[in-house]
Amino acid sequence: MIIHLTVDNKELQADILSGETLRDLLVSHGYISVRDSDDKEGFAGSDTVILNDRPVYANLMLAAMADNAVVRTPHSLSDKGSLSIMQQAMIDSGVVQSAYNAPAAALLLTWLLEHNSDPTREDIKEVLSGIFIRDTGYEHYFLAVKLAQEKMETGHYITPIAPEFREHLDYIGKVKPKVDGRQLVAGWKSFVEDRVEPGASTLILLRSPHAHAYINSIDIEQALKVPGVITIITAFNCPDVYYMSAGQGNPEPSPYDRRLFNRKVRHVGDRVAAIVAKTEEQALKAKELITVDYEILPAIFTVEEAMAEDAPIVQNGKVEFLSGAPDDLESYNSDIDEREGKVIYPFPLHADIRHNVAAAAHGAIGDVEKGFEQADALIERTYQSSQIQCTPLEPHLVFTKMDNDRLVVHASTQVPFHLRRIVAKVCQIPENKVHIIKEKVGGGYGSKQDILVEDVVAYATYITREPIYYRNTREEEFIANSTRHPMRVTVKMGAKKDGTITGVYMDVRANTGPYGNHCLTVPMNACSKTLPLLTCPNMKFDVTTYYTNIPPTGAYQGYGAPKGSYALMTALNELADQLCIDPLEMAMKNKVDRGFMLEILKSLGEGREGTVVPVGSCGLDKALKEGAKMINWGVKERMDDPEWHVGKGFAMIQQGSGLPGLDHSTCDVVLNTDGTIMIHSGGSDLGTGLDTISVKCVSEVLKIPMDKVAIISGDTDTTLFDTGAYASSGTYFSANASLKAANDLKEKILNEASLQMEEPKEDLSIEAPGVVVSVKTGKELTFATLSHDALTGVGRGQLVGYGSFVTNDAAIPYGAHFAQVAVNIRTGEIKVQKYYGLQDAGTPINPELALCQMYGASLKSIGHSLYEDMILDENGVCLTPDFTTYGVPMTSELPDDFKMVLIDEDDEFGPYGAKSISEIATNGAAPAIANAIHDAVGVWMRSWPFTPEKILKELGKIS
Amino acid sequence: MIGKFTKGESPKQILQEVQKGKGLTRLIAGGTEINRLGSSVAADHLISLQNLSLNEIRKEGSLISIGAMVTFTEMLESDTIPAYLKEAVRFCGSFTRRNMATIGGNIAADRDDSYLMPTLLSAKARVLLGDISIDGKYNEEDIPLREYLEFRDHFNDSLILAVILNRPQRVVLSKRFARSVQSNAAVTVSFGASVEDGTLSDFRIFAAVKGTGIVRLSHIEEGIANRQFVEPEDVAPSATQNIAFVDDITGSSSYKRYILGSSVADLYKQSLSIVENGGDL
Ligand SMILES: Cc1cc2nc3c(=O)[nH]c(=O)nc-3n(C[C@H](O)[C@H](O)[C@H](O)COP(=O)(O)OP(=O)(O)OC[C@H]3O[C@@H](n4cnc5c(N)ncnc54)[C@H](O)[C@@H]3O)c2cc1C
Ligand code: FES
Repeated sequence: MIIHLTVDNKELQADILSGETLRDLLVSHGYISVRDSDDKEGFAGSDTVILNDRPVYANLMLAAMADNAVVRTPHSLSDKGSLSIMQQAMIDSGVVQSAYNAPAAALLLTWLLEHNSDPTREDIKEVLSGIFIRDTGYEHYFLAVKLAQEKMETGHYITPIAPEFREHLDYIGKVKPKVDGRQLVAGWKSFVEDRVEPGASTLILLRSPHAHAYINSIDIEQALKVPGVITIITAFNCPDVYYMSAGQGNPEPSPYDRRLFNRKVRHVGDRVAAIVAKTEEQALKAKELITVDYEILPAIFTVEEAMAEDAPIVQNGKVEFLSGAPDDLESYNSDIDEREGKVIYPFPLHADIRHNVAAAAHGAIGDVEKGFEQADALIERTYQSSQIQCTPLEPHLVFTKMDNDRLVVHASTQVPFHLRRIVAKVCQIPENKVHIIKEKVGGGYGSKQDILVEDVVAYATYITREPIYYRNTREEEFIANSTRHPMRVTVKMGAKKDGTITGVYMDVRANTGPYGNHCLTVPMNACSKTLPLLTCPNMKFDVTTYYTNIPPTGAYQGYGAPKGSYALMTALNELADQLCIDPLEMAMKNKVDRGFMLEILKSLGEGREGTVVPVGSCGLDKALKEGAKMINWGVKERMDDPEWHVGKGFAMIQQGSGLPGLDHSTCDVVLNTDGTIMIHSGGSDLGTGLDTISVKCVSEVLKIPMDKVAIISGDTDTTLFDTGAYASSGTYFSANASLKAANDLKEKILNEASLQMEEPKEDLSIEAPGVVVSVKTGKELTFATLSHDALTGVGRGQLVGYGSFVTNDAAIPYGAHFAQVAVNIRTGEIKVQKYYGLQDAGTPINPELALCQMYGASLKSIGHSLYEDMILDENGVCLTPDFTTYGVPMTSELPDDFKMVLIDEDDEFGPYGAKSISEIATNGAAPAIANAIHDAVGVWMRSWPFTPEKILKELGKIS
Repeated sequence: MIGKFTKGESPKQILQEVQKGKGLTRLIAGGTEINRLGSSVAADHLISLQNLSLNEIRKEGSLISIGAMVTFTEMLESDTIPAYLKEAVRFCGSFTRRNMATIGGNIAADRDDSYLMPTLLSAKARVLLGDISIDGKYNEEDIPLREYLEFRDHFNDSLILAVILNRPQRVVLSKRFARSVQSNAAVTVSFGASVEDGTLSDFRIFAAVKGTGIVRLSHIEEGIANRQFVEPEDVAPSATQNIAFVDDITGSSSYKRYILGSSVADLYKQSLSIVENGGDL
């Protein structure tokens, strides 16, 4: 049928199908910023457009119903490259980060200001209520609206955007527009989906309906006959290559326990076959025609089930070691069903797969038993965290093609170089035959540290030479992705009457699910990012990770730290309660401070011995004191309604900045012929502003405006190696490499200038805006002339700075989070009234982006503590495979008073004193809220999420 | 798969098409239920109601008539819609969805976590239905929403034209229990009563219970009317006697049972206090 509509002031006549949605129509006409992140669930709002002056979801609207309508899309907001005031205000306030929904949010806020020139916080919450923002936690959207209002009224901003740091510097610590903000907020081509070439084939996966089963056979004969089907890959024709999905430093502290397809499926949703076809319809038809003969096995879902005597064994294949094989390996490997495959450990991880143990680690300082003997009070408590999904708005997706006999992979990844290695391994080709292009990442949060889709799609392209596009459905994001490991953490803690902690024991039992990616590193973080907060001389930990048949787990912002922090900090509060002392006082008494030697780190290396270092810059004391003041610690608040009880809680937190001794970043900085700069950084900006940090470092060193510096990052052909963006490494590692490269280029510029100007180098300095000046003669040489003359045919060649950064020094970020909650004693409902996060990020290089990351991470972890939960039925089927059932926080779940504060601390090792910022912010909510709930109604919440039902149970209202 | 889309021209023409379509021709209003992932509605031919002028909110003497195509947002923007209904409209936490979702669609969708049904039922709302009788004639009839619900299957092919509320107002208080505002509700409960001479009468108590459906707590209505309960709290233990609750992702059956019983008592208590304080309805 033919319809007519006006889209962004242009007449559009279209011949549509009856079932076509308005979004399909708009995208097919080039309005790509009208996106979809939930497969038409009608929840996330990526597809928001204005229809006849009302915001609607274009995916829930049939195109036919828009006949004669006037439609506005985010594209209408920018005009030939110039952004609207609202779009610019969003960039300036720091909310444009992974930004998948930023164009839709800009459209909504523009519409709001057109209808209400002075909206309240509630009005803004209301208009954004239909849009899911995971990266920045909504809070600075209020600021963005204010800034836009001010700009419209007065021509400039009045409200300060964020505190600024380091007066003597021009770019570092200053609010400056994020370098990729324009393209992201405007909705211009940015993401993998925007790079797919017309005519690309499609790949879909047949997934297991069973949690645990052998595949005896797969019949693909009929499926292969479907017209358009190109190939079908299964366990019976895939390469016999074992690897694992975690993008970690090589050799990895995780077992290689999977091939592209295995003879055994280990979770509902596990891969069974990949169907490549010209169209999705053909692939789906073929999928229906595949028959699989499964031999169903009993399945296990919890750590307790995995530990049980005679438990079904999830990974029961032949064990091999690349190094350090034990002597009894042969007998360990007797009697193996070959359908189990293999488990190859790059080095020993104290595993015992015959008892479902994927990895284990143990360590101690002092004598913990003696510590317990010295204690006046001793508690032992177990805390359970649940399985949580990262829920990036942009799901896992990839576009692969062949070019000049090389595999080209357009990826949304945190680890381009690990991705290249793993793809090369799976395809059994050298790395120089693989080109990874990291596109803008529409949300990663750890899940894009795992290679979950690129392996199979790249291999399919490699064997078929077809360009192929693959995109996870939202359901696949839940059932076949990486999630937070559920963990059971037992803490035994003893203290003297005055609150001095004398001994701490942590027993971490983690559930890695079907595969062992990150099986050591994530659970280890439960201890390594928590125990070093305490000065206690007697500490011991055991970490054991079990295989089960739940959907896969992996990396998630914070790794195991949020769970360890929840357990350790709640235990500290429980012990303080038992001793009748103020938990804050107890924390102050036992916390570390600058100079304290962190002996515990020795046993907390990731599978190797760790390096003992002293605490460096440390804002913990300030964070605790300031936070206590902000929340009126010690003052009991009351509400008029006697059913509502108010309580306060806090947690002290830490993380790391990358992995000293393991991570490595490199970068080059090139002086172009016109004196501008090109950075090639191996680092992977996930939207968090790493590229902006690199540009700022270069601008600062070379005194050249940021718009004269361009950056390419995370492209394995054009940039140098970097281990990737995980473990909070971006600012510390990648930016330190950029800084070193900038300093190297500076030296080279001065050397070259000395030759060209015929003056000693010592007399020359670099001044803004990119000029070499002689302090003696006053002569000036611009970068443009210098570079031109270096490349004229008689010059000495292009100037390139190189930076390689490795270190053993730790730059540990510290902080404290405080919560005030109201709990209804009749209904169990919980409201977060106040949430304050105070963190020391060293020098916050991008203060506005740093604050937004803190808001994002905090709201995420408020979500994990209170609402979010992956629930499986008794067969391992996920009952919560969409946003609505899973329960992510939206504007309505924002704390009434939400504040993030940057504690000023200069670090000696970070670039310009910077440390990491965002992962740490996931560690505070669970313990702070659990402790606040106890303060309010006297019950301890020892398992995630803290639902009204659990509160009622604890209060004895229901059984 | 939707193979055909047409815009309905008149109620009669629409109903004739629906009859011909034998269950696979369905009406589309806002489309938020029909077009969503995992929709409960299967159809191959959709007939849009957008040209029928069903989007008016009118005061008609002591009645308020809300056209079936009135959206949630239009209800919130209207001065005519009573506050208690606006409260239920806000149970739909997404502003964008409220711009699309209609009252008619919500009633017809008849979900076990319905935003509006408990409130409309407690308000003693009526629905104006268009139907084709056996002799092929087009009829309009207004019936209690309660009856529509009771004989829901019988009205599968009916066209909801409007929802009618009585203006001499009732106290209607509702409450929705969900983990987050936009997660599925375990229980949505509504308590309604008429106010005459400062006392409450003519009670209606309805709840949407996830996994169970929409239930009427008639024994509690009767018990309150007969003064069987001395204090509002006394209602709670017997409120949920005859209801079969199920465990699901929104909560256990014991949670649902407790929260429903406790809320009925609480809403009753609140209603009493509103009347005692001569409060604004
Ligand atoms: C993410 C998400 C979450 C949701 N959660 C809830 C929820 O918690 N509770 C809830 O109640 N709803 C929920 N909904 C569903 C929906 O938004 C509302 O029920 C809405 O009110 C339906 O109205 P509509 O106009 O969009 O209906 P449509 O989708 O257009 O139609 C729904 C049904 O009603 C029929 N119908 C529509 N109008 C009429 C009429 N005038 N006469 C007869 N039949 C008619 C249609 O044939 C169809 O069967 C949710 C939807 C989404 C996308
Ligand atoms: S339906 Fe709105 S983002 Fe998918």
